This record gives sequence, C-alpha cells and structure tokens, in this order.
Amino acid sequence: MKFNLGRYSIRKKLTWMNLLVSGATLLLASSAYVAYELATLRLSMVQNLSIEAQIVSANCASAVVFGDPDSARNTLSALSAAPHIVSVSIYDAQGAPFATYSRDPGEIRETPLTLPEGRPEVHKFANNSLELVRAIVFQGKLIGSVHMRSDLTEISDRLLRYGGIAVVILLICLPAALLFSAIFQRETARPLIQLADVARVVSRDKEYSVRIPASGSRDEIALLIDAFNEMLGQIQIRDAALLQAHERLNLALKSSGVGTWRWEIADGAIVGDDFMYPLFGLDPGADLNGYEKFFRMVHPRDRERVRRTATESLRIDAPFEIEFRVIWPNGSVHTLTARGNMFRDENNQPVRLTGVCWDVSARRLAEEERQKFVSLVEQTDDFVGMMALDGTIIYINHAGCRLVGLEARRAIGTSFADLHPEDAWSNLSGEILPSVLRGDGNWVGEARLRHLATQQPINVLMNIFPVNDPETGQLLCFAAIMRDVTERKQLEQQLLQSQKLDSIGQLAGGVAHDFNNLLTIISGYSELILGRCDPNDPVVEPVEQISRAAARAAALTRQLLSFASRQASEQKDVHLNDVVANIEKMLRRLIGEDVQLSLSLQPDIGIFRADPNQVEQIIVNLAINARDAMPGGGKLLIETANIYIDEESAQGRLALEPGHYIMLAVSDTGVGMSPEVKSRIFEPFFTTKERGKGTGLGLSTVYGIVQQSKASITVLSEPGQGATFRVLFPAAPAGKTGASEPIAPPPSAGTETILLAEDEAGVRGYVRHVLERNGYRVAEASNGLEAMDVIHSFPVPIDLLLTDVVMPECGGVELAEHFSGVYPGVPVLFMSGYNDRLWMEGDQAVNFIQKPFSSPALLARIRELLDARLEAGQKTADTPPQTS
Amino acid sequence: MTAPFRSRRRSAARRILLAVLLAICLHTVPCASAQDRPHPTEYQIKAQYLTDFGRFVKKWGNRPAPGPDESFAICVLGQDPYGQSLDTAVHGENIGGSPLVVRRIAQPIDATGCRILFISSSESGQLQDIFGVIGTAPVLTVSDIPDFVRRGGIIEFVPDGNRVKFEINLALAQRVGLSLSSDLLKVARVVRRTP
Repeated sequence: MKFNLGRYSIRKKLTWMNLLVSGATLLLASSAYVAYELATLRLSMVQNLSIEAQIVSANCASAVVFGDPDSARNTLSALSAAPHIVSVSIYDAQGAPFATYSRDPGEIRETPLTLPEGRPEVHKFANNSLELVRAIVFQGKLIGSVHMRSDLTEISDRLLRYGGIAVVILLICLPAALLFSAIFQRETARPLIQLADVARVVSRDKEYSVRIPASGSRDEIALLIDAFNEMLGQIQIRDAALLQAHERLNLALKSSGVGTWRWEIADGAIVGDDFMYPLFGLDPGADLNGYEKFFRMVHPRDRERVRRTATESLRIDAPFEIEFRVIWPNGSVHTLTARGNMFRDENNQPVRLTGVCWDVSARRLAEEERQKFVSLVEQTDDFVGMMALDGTIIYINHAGCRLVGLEARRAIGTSFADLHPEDAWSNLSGEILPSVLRGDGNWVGEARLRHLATQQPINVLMNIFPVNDPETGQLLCFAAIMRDVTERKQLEQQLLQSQKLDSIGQLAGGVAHDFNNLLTIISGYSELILGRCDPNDPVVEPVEQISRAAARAAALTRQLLSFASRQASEQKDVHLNDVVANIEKMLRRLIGEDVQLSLSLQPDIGIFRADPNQVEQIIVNLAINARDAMPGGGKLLIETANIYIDEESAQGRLALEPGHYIMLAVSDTGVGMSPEVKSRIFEPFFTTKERGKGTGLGLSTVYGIVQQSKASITVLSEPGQGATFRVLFPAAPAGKTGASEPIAPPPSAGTETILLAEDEAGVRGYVRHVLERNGYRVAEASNGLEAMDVIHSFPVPIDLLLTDVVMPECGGVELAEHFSGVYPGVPVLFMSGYNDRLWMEGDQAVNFIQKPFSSPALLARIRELLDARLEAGQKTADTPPQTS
Repeated sequence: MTAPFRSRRRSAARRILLAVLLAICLHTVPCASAQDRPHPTEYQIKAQYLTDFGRFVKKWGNRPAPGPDESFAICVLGQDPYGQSLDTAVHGENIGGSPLVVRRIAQPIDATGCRILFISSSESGQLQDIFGVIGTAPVLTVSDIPDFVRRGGIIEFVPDGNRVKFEINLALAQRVGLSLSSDLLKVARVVRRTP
C-alpha cells in the first residue's frame, strides 16, 4: 500500500508529525518507565517482603525460641495492616508449623518453598503471588523459618496507576503537542506556505514583481525565501534584458529585411513572420501562409528547384541555402535567398524546416553586372591576367590560357615567371615591375611570352599596371593585358619587306628608266649605223654585238622595270588555264628533260584582271627558278584553282582581303629554302646561284607583276623539302565570269558518312568537329591500317574517304587504293601538305585539298565531290542500259 | 506445560526440604534419623530455655557483656534435674562469643561467676539464704520452684500442659541491673513490674 504523503499540506504534515513524535516519545518514555518500574517493583516487592519477613522473624524470634505461638500469632496479626500479605507462616527449626497468619481465612498453601542450604532467604513469583521464605536466625542459630506470601496486587496496582498516569499525561500532552505544533508549524509553515502561494501566483500570472515578505529569521526557510526573492529579481532583470534583446532583434530584422519562416512537415503548411511580406511585395497581413500560395509566388522556373532543395534537405538532414526568384503582385521579379534548417521535436522526429529569407535582388543585379564584365574579359582575345605580389597568377582569362598554352584549371597559382623566357622575365621583374611599383604608372611595351607546351616565344604587346585598393590605395596586385602581336609582327615584317622591295624597286626603276633612255640611244644609233652600213662592212659585226647587247640590256631593264611595277600593262580578263596551256610547250623546253612537269588545272577556273603577258612572265620565271632548284632533276607542278579566302585565312596576310581568288601554284621538289633565303627571295639581284648564273631578277620580276596585279604571293619551303610559290589573283567581280562557280560558300551540310584518316590528332579532331557539326557522320582513324579496319567493320556504307597523304603504318595513297577496291567509284579527298602530291607516283586524277584549309573550303570540296558522285549515279541511273 | 514443571519443582522442593532438615538436624540436635523427631521432655525444653534466656539479657548490670574471652556460665544449684539435657543444650553454644558452660554448684557462694543460676527445687527451703548471698549481683535467677518470682526470683518456669511457660519478675531484674529484652517479656506469661 503506497502512502502518498504528498497529498497533504505542510500544516497537516507538521501537525501529524508533531503529534506522532510527541505521542511516540511519551508512549516510549512511559512504557520504558513502566517497564522499569515493573522490573524494579518486583525487586522492591521482594525487598519489602524480605524486610517484612525480617521484622516478623525478629519479632517472633523469642516466640519461636520459647515456643509461644500465641505471641507469634499476635505479632503476625499485626500484618493485617499490610493488605498485600496473603499469609505468613512460621515454622520451627524442624519445619513444623509454629504460627500462621492468613489474610483470607481458610486459605493456606500447603507446600511452601524450602530454603536451600546456605541461603538465608529465597523467594519465588508464582500464580499471582510472591512467596518468600526467610530463615529465622536468633543469635546465630537457625531457629525456624518464616514463610511469607504476598499477592501481586501491588504490581497490578502500580501498573494501573502508572498506566493511568501515562494515559493522563498523554491526554494532557498530546493536545499540548497539538497546540505547540499549531504554533510551531504556523511559524515554520507560514513562510513555506507564503512561498508556495507566491510561486503559484508567479507561475499562473507570470508576474515576477511579487516578493515573499522576509520573516526576519535566519533559518533555512528564510534563506530559501531570500533565494527565491533574488531569483525573481534575476528573472525580472533577465526578462528586461530579453525584451531588450528581442526588440533589438526585431529592429535588426526589420532594418535588415530578413524574414523568418517555417515549413511544417506534418501538413506542409508554410508560415512566415511579418518581415516575410515585404520580401514578396505583399502588404503585411496579406495571405501568404500556405504551401500553394507560397509556391505561386515563386518564379515558375525555380519552383521545382526550391521544392527539390527543401525535400532533399529534409532527407539528408542538412541545412540548405537556395536562391530563387519570386514574382511580386505588381509583376516585378526579385531574387531572394532562403536558408533553412531541420528542426526536431523531443522524440528526435523531424517536425519542420525553419529558416530565414532575405532579398538579394540588388546583389543579383550586381552579380549580373559583374558577370557581364567578366564575360567581356573572358570574351576578349587579349590576354587578361592578374598577378599577386608574390608572383603567382591569381586570374587569367581564357584567351590568356590559350595564348600561352596554360590549362585553365592549373592556371591559378602558377608562377607568372613561367610564362616568360628567362631573359624576358628578368627584365620584367628587374626593371618594369619595380618601375610600376614606384608609381610610374602602367607600362606598355613589347614583351615576349613563352608557350608552355612548345616553348616557342610569343610576341605580345603588354600593358602592365598596378591594382590598388580604392580606399586605402594599397597595392593589391598587378594586372596585365597583352595582345598577341605575332601576327602584327608578321605583317610588319611583310610590310617592311614590301616597303624594302618597293624602295629597291623605286631605285631600280629610277635607274632603269634612265638606263632605258640611254639604251634607247645606244640601240637606236646602232640601228642607224647598221642601216647605213653595208652588210659586208666589217663594222657590222661589232655594231650588231652592240645592238644585241643593248637589246639584252633593254630586256633586263624591262625586267627591272616590271619588278618596279613601272611597266605598262594591259589589263584584260585572264583565263589562267589558257595562259598555262599557251606556254606549256615553252615551259617543257625551258625546264629540260630532267624535270618532270605536271599540270593540275582546275577546270572551271575563274577569271581575273591582269596582263596575260605578265602572267606568263610569272609562270616562266617561277618555272625557271624551280628548275634551277633541281639541278639533278625533279618534279615541277603547276596548279590552278579557285580559292575562297575567309576571314581566318586572311589573317596574317598583309594586304589580303577575304574573298575569291584564282590561285596559281608552282611547286618543285628542289633543295628548298631556309628562312633567311625565303625572306630575301624577292629582292632584286638576290640569288643563291653562283655568280654569273642568273640575274637575280627573276623572282623580283614576279613580285613586281604580282604587286601590279593587286595579287599576292607566298612562298612555302623548307630546306630539302622543295618549294611552292603560290600566287593569288583576286577574282574578277561576279557577273564577269560565265563559269558557274560558287560565289558564296555553298551549303555544305550533308548527312553522308565520311571516313576520316589523319594521324595528327589535332587536325583530325578539328575536321571531325567541322564535319559532324554540319551533319556528316564521321568514322575516324589515325592511320591507314586503322582506316582499313574501319572500312571493313563500319556498319554503314562510307560515302567519302577524307585522308591525309602522309601517315605512319600506311599512307593515304595505299589507303585510297584499298578503299577504292572496296568502294569503287566512291570519292577520295586527300588532305595534302604543300607538296605532298609531288611525292606520289603517277598522275591519276586525284582530289586534293591543300592544307591549311578553311572549314568552308573543306566542306565545299566535300560537298562538291559528293554531289558529283550523286550526279554520276543519277546519270547511270538515267542512262538506259546498253544493249548490244 | 506447567504441570510437569510444577511437579519438577515439587520434587525439587522435597529434596531441598530434605537437605534443609538434614542441615538443621546436623546443625542443632543430632537426630537418630531425619524422619525421627522425638518430642522433647520438660527438662529438655527448660534446658533449651535456659540456654536461650541469656540471649535476651541486654545488660548484665555492671558485668561486661559476654565475650569470647570468658565463658558464660549457667549454674545449677542444688539437685540437677536436667541430667544430660542441659549439657546437650549448651554444647557448642555461645552467647556473644562466650561459650556456654554448665556448672553445678552446691553453695550459693559459688554462684558469683554465674550469669544464669538455676535453683533446683531441692533448694526451695534455702531461697532466702540464696538470695541473700547473691544479693544484687546481676545473676539471672531461674527456677521452677513455685512462687519463685514472688519469693525473689527473676524467672519462674510454669508448666502449661505440654508447654513450659515462664513468669518474669521484671522489677527484680531491673533491681539487680539486668535489662531484659522486650522480646522475652513478650513471650513471658506474667511479667511482674512492681515488686
């Protein structure tokens, strides 16, 4: 049985406690006393009885001695005064009864106690009586014994008396205890009850200003009260502080525009505080709460993302942050950031997401602005980079990475010095940067970078300047903007070159002009003399010599003049192939038997305006030059083609505008030229031949004519690799030509399957990319063998083979043979280096596209070939089968 | 369970009684057997009384109290009626440390050292002389001569059936300087206070 004391008030408890304590104490005390008394009572009874026995025996001694029972009886009768004595018997020395007294007549015990030997007295409690036997000793002699019997009424009397007293005491003391406890507990419990009352008030009304009155005592309860009061005071202080903090928070939230929200998991409700409304462009009090209402305000394209982020956060129990757009009722779009966290209840179950939300539209705008500038920097073709004060790159744009061959992801942290050749860097770091630092401002000038992969130097125009903190002016880092001027340099070179040649030409022209005049005089007068002379005159021979010499001189002068572009030219429509055809015979004679001449003439060559004679001159001079480069014989190839120069290809070519051109190329397998020779090849009187061989004017003449025709000429040669001279005549404007040539780049897309064989990965990739972008399906191989595998394994028939000529394992030619065996009639297009063809045997009709080629050119060529095949196919389809 | 207990106690009590009786017997009169209690004769009783009287005398006049350095003489003057009884009664007894002795004397003159003098009835005619000799000496005179106390004796044996009573002449006792205990007086039959 559980006894719940807690139910009772302190008053009752104290009262009961007191009562119980007092009662128990009294009871115990009384019982102890009673027990003690009882215990001693017996003893005292015995003692009393013993004394009485002694008295009796003393008084009766003489009676016993002198045998006078009456006397004894007399004496004994006095014992009636002792009501507790039931009987007294005196026995003589022999043990015979001598005298007896009995309180209640008729009642005599028969067998009394007997004295054990040696003991003067013995007693026994039995049957409600106390028996005592004492020896009567008279003057040392045992003369008898006295037997006393007493009842125990004394004990019971005593018991009752004490019991009564105890009860009385209890009856008196318990109420007294009650009274005292009433007083005491009032004193003790009052403070406690006050405390309890105040605590109740505090907890019910949340009123912390109440206090418990001090009791003036210093006991523990008073201390408790003091502590309680102090605690209330502390709570008040804290409340005030909390209120302050709350107000501050509110103020902060209000001024920061941060709203708080929560998203209940149970019912999906979304609830926001007052600060959320302005974020959504709503008036306070507007109805935002609710899942659907919230999402309706979110920008449609961000809804899914928001939903997903929130549920993901719930799933993985991680905080989230998300930026999303909302559309205000007035239609404006704003960007908000929300941060949220999962909140669990006491059972650790997820209950809701809670978080904050604030407007970041301004920041987003700033971000967008920044992005624009970043894209500016990223889009430019110039190198833009920033270098920290310790020399490491902290930013570099894409163009910059491309320029120096640096991988974007490894750019940051790379040392800026690595991008420079050593000498350039020592100059930069030793002189330029310090001068910039000194405050000389930015430094602009030419510098050299180094391509990290090829280690080739890159000429740049560098603008390097410090970036300072706008507030403190402290140097933050260096920034550099660099432009690749390699091309410009090239152009400069070319300009220099042409200027040089021009000036030489002018000089030569000037001299030649005067010279021509003098020659005219010489040859004229020679003619005169010859006309006046007799044929047999011996002076004829020498004069003829003079005349011939003058004629030769004149020819030379003419050449010189044509180099200087001073020669008069007749501009006509030139059909290049016709020009070539005209002089073919002469060329063969000119170049000799050791040199094998082959022609590759584009059938539908375009027309251009030039002097046909001059064009002839070009071809002849180039042929002669080629012949002279092949002393042991070789091959000479003359090509004509229609070329379209696009923007890309026009770069780096001085005075070359994009557009249509007619190309004349003369290639040889001669000794080739070194770069030094190449750079001077068009200089008049520059020759690599021995003295006396050649005038050194042949190529100069060519150059001059080219200039005059508004054409351009380039030389491709490597020592030992022969040479190709390529002249580009600007095509005549459309309408002048009757040939149907593609004016604009033809639509070059297609869906055919092309097998691409190219060993150089970069080229292969580029070509593949171009083809695929235009719809072609591409099968690629990196050499002939691979290509052959592809031929056999490709699931779809191949419509065209596009192959490099020179490849390891198996070259383009071999491949083409194999290919044609499998796919007879399917076009093959060779991508050739500048004179790969010359190394080929035979002169089958092959299709070439010259490297480097532009993508439109490639696509056009491919399309052309494929269309030709289609037509051919069509034709055979159309042609009725021959019956014979 | 009390019954066996009681019987045990009863048998124990019997044994104790036996022992006590034995002790008593051994201590006092040698008995023939524990069960044998012969009724005492007249002169045995008187002999016993004689030995006991001395115990009830508080003061012996100018004589010192009986002590161990002297013997306590009980004299018999005249014909000794006691036979062995007095000797038996006296045997081993002492009063106040003084050993009791029995002296049989013939002449009153010899009674001077006696504390107690028993005058035999054979001397009933010589009482005056005897008293005259004794005079006021503190001697407790006892006799069974009739009218002894009237005739000048202090204690007179008076037969009473089986019992032996005695009368005391207190005045006389006082005159001779014997102070008698009231206890004795209590059991005396007659106490003469006045001469």
